[in-house]
Amino acid sequence: MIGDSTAWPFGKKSALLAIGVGGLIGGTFDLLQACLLFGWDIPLSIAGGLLGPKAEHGGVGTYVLGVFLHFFIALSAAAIYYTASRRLIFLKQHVLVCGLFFGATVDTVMNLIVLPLSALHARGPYELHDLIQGLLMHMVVIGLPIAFSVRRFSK
Amino acid sequence: MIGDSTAWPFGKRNALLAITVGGSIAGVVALLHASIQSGWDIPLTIAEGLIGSKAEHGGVGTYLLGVFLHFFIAFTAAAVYYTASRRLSFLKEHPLVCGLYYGATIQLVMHLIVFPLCAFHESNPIPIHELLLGMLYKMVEVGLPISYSVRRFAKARDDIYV
Repeated sequence: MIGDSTAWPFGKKSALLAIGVGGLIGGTFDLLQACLLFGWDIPLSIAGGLLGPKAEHGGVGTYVLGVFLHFFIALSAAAIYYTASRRLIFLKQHVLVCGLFFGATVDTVMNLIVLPLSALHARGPYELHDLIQGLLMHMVVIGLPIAFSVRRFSK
Repeated sequence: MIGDSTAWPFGKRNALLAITVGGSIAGVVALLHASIQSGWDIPLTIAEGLIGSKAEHGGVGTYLLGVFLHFFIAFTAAAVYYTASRRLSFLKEHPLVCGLYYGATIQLVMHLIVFPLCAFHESNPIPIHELLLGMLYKMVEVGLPISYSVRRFAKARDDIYV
């Protein structure tokens, strides 16, 4: 029956909570650290990934689009971790190791696949220092909140 | 008693077998691939990581040093995976996922930590294409042989502590 949450194999409420809390905390930490490090117009650069370089001079709408895209990616990452944890149970049992690795994966996938394919057409080459800093940062601010939230809230 | 393998907590023979087989296969495949792709003097470049730029014009000794260093790193990587698998049993239960991950990790550790610290002090910006392609190769050529070898040869922890 529609609306009967027990009919859904994962327990709808706990899935939404795990993904929502993990994605929002991870997304918020990451956006804050990016803004503190690179300035508060970072959402314009994020919007540039969809609209191209003209987003740099965008207004409030572009800014909001950037924030939305950022959280869309953070929530997608949390949803991927949650979905994987249904079959790979160790993702829930070893949250510290798996969270740190997942954060590194998100950073690597963004740098090597998403950014080159986005409207920003990142071509690199990447500075060593930037790669290391981004990797360490995302391991902690993205990976850990998602992993701990999936362990805490998912059934 | 020395020589009594049961006295050693991990089961000595299984540990050696897991690390040696995994490290050898990974090392041979990766070295062959690198040599075919970039030329057969690749071991000289590897030796450069220890003794600096003079290795580029080195002879047989330098060549052998490069091959030795390459396999030293491959065996170390296998030993790290084996050691981790003693406590994180999922490394043995899911060798496909974990092996691919481990290969990617090796690529990042080599590029971001080892190369900058070794004698050629790599500090140039890294091209995306090179990092991505190298990562995909390492995932398959290095990560999988190590993880499957650990699963095949290493004893289960439960067997050891009964």
